[in-house]
Amino acid sequence: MSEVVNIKKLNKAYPGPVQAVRNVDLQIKQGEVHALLGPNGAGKTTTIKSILGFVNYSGNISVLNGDIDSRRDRIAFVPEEKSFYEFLTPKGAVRLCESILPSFDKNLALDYVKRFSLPMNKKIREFSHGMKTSLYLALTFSQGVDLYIFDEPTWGLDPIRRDDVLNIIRNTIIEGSTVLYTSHIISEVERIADRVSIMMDGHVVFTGYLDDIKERFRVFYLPVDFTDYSADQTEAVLKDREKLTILTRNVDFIDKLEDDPQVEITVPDLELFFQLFLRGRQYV
Amino acid sequence: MKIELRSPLPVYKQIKIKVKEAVLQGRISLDDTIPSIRELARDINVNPNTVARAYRELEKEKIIFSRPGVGYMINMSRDQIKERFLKELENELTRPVKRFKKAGISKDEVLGVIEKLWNGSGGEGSGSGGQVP
Repeated sequence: MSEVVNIKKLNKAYPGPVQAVRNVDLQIKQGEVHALLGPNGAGKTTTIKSILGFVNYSGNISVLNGDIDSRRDRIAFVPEEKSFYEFLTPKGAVRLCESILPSFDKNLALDYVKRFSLPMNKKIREFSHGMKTSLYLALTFSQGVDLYIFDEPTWGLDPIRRDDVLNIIRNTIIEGSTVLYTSHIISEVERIADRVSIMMDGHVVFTGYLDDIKERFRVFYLPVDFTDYSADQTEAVLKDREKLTILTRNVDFIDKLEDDPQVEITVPDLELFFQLFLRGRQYV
Repeated sequence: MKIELRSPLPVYKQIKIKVKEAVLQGRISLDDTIPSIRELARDINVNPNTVARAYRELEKEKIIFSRPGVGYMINMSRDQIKERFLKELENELTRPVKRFKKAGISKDEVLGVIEKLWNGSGGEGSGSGGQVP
């Protein structure tokens, strides 16, 4: 599989003490749905803005094996904040997109507008947040590009529309495109992503296939006074009053503890995996 | 086909098992076509790359094969798949059996537990959720 986006040593600082993105290496492969997870302020949006060339950065980013500025026609982006010409109607917006976007499919766009139950002739300024998001997505999905980038695409959508959007994202890769998106909603990521990257404090701390998390990682619940582990055997360690929780992919460590009937062990789902990474890494 | 995203079993493995089960249950048989990757992905609401991974492995294991223009077809008889299934079961049970033996539990006692599970009285069967497969 070739890389659709290849990020090497990306660094980005905004004024102030905290650096937004630090030494990020990230590869997005052809045909995958890649989800970028992380708490607010982890650097997800900055990474996306860097890929799109919306901010200055240091490091190397290639998009579709070239420079972003020569590839814009083949990329569609949905930002978290959607701004529109508010005086337009969906009909007018479709017409506008058709006139400026080379790969825009007008009929497909009109289909989506209908499917998302948006009023064709109402001014966008009268739309709710969810309606604006739906329209933005309808216009985006009609572009037939190689790479779609979404920043929190389902935020503010009702459950039915969210379902529609997730299904469309899935169909997008069936047609051969690649998707990179950020999300807070783990259950959604579980449904449509094949790989995830977790960002924390400007770093990418994990990248991998969802199925590989289940295959390679184990979570052990141990007595609080358990000390027979080292930092290089663990990915995250969380201690509370009742127990010690260890996330690990160390085969020797797993082998040693797996057969101990006193030890509780589980296969992490994405939610548990993410929570442990988030809260347990600082102790490693 | 029903897929549990939260199951401890990886999704691609669940798909592999379901295909084999369909043959074992006689719902499909040798030379029957199975859904294409995109059809199945849409059907069971999972990422197509995950279905592709399952099919790739099933193909490597010679349980299915792909015929250009026709699609994926079952490449094994029910008996052959059953044999595979039992072999896998053996692999899965190797560790626990060793462990019970070491702990001084007798064969009859282990068989007793299996008997109990088999008859559905007690135990939580395969739906235990958090346990390691």
